[in-house]
Amino acid sequence: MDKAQSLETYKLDKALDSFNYQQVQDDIMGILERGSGVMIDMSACNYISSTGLRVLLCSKKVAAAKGLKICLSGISDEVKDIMNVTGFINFFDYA
Amino acid sequence: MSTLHFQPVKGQAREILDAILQSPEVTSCNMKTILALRLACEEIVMNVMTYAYLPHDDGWLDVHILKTDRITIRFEDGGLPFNPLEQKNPDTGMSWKERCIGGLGIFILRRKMDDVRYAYENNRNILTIEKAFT
Repeated sequence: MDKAQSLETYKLDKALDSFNYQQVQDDIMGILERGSGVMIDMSACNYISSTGLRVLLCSKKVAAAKGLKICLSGISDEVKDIMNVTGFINFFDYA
Repeated sequence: MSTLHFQPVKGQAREILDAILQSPEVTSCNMKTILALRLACEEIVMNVMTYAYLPHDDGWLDVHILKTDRITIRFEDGGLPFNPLEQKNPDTGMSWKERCIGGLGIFILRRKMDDVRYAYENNRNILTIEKAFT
C-alpha cells in the first residue's frame, strides 16, 4: 500500500463552527504535515456552520496538494443536509 | 417577545449567540427549527463581529425575538452600513477545486430561513430573519 493511503483518524466534537474551527484546522493540518491522510470521524458531530465547511474544504485542498486523502465517516443527517444544500457533499470520500 | 441588548459586542460572540438560543421563543421550537436558527444566528453574529465596528469601537447589538405562527428575529447594530445580502451566492455545482472559501454563510442563511430582509435606517443596520414552523 502506498503512503497516500494511510489515514489517521481525527474525531470531531459535537460541533464544528466559528468557535472551534481554528483548533480543528490546526489539528488536521498537523496530521497532513506528518504525511498522513485524515479520516475525519464525524459521528459525534451534528452541527456544522459555514466556518466548519471552510475547514473541510481547506483541508481537502491542502491534502490534495500533498497527494493525501481526506475521508469523512459517520456523518449525521443534520450535517449531511448542510453539505447537500451547499454542494459540499460531492467533495469528499466516505467510509 | 424578548429584547436582548449587548454592549460591548467585541469578543462576545459566544455569549451573544447563547443568549439568543436560550430565549424562550427559540428553546420552545422543534429541533429542526432550532438548528436552522442556530446556523442563521451564528452567521449574523459573526458578521457583526467582523464587519460592523472599527477595531477601537466596542459596539452594541440589539436582538428582538418574536414568536407568533413563525419566529422573527431582528438584529440592529450601530456599525458601518453593511448589507450582507449583497454578497454573491456561491456556485454549488462547482467542483472542490474551483470552489473558493467564502460566501457560504449568507447562502446557508437564505436557504434555512423563509425570509431575510436588510434595511439601513436611523444609522442602524437592521437585519430581520423569519422562519415558519415546519
